[in-house]
Amino acid sequence: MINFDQASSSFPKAPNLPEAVAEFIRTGASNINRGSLNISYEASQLVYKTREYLLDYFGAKNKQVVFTKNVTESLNLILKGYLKNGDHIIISGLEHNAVMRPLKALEKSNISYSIIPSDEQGSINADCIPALIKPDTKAILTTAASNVAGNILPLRQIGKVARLNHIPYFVDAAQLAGFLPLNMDVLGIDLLAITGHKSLLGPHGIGAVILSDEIGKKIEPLIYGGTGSVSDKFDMPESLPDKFEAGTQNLIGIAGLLASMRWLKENHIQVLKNEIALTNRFITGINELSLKYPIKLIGLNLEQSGYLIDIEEVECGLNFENLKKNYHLLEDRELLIEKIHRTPVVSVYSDEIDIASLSFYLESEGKIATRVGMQCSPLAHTSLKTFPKGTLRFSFGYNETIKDVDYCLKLIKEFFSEE
Amino acid sequence: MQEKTRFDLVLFDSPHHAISFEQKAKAMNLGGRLIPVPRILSLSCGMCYRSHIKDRGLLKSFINNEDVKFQKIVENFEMM
Repeated sequence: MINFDQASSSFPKAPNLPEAVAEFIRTGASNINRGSLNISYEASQLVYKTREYLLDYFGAKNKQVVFTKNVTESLNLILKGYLKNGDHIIISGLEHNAVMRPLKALEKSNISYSIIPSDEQGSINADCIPALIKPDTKAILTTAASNVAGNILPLRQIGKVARLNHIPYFVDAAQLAGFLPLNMDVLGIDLLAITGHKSLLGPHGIGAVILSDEIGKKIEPLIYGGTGSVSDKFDMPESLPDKFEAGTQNLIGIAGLLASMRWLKENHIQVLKNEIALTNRFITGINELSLKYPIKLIGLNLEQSGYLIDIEEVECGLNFENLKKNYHLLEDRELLIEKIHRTPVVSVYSDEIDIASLSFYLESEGKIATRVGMQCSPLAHTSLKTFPKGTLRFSFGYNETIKDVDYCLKLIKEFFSEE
Repeated sequence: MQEKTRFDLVLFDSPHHAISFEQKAKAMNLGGRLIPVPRILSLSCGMCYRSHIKDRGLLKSFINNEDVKFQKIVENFEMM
């Protein structure tokens, strides 16, 4: 199989993941916070290390990690727990249904939202935000990158607007976490929602929210129950992470996430180089095909994507940002996230052919996995003017090759020739 | 029967704070360890950090200089 559907869930995962998970089950699968046996202590240590690793990885000083089962649960916790009757929130025009469905349900509780408009390429201008702010605006929440067009949003600029207006900035990093360095403190992000099974190359069923104690105080729990702390009381503890981690956590997922993130850190430059090279080749190929056939690229072109960047510059930037110590030496424009504006996600659209047929052709003829349709993001498709047909999405990972991309492009050409 | 010794006990609001405290203390070569909280000190189940009273100066210096969260310190607690 050639997996060009990495944005749904990465595969293959980090090579060390299966053994790390098996090792935990063999030797350490106790529970945390619930016993004094050494085995429980070791599991607690592993969870602690994973929290510390995440805080360091996402440049989150003085913040806490709360584990969830995925980014959807993270976003539900934030939206349902933080927003109260009469509150207003600002979101982007590229949000996933993990944001839109909870918000739609919250409309019944007199909670409203405004949308930062995007243009047809999925670009968003942070200067549009101040006009949307109301007296009851309690947060700005945006995706870090569109799961349809791959655009990376101007996170630092949005963070600046949020700071200037004393409004917390929440980010859904499902599509960006693990692709590029994402430093919460540098970008002005107050709360980050992540999932483990996409670009972090970890297992399914593990996600997290990274937030400050101050924001945590303003959020009501989504799940209530035992935490192994303040057990003589019927009320949930106020301290983090206990307030939001009732019940036994996904310790196997946490063990796997730590392993996969360690592998990713060691191999990030090779992963990133491959993802950029494959995406670059694919966009170039689609642009060539679009001259002859009814298919077009959605979103930023190669230059706008920053994909013409010198790979040595990427390596240098990545090494520097991994040190996480000398950010004050960097100009804002030197951050990798200011140079690269697309994840390895590419959507294509056609007015004339059924893109589902093309998806099926690629699967049946070439064993190539893609994702067709709405990608759970009707709002993004409305912004990108691809609603209701949707797009055929290709997303690239570390394991596929340029040869695989060329084979895929050849099959797309064949499909049109046979039509 | 084992003789009782006096310890300083650090109590926490969360097991996560206890583990965090213990890991940072270990890195600074403090000699204490986590134990179940004596029931007389807290109705909540959980762990506390036990440090010998001879290390009190080190413990206080550690608490003052490191970013650690705790609920309170119980000094001179006698236990086996």
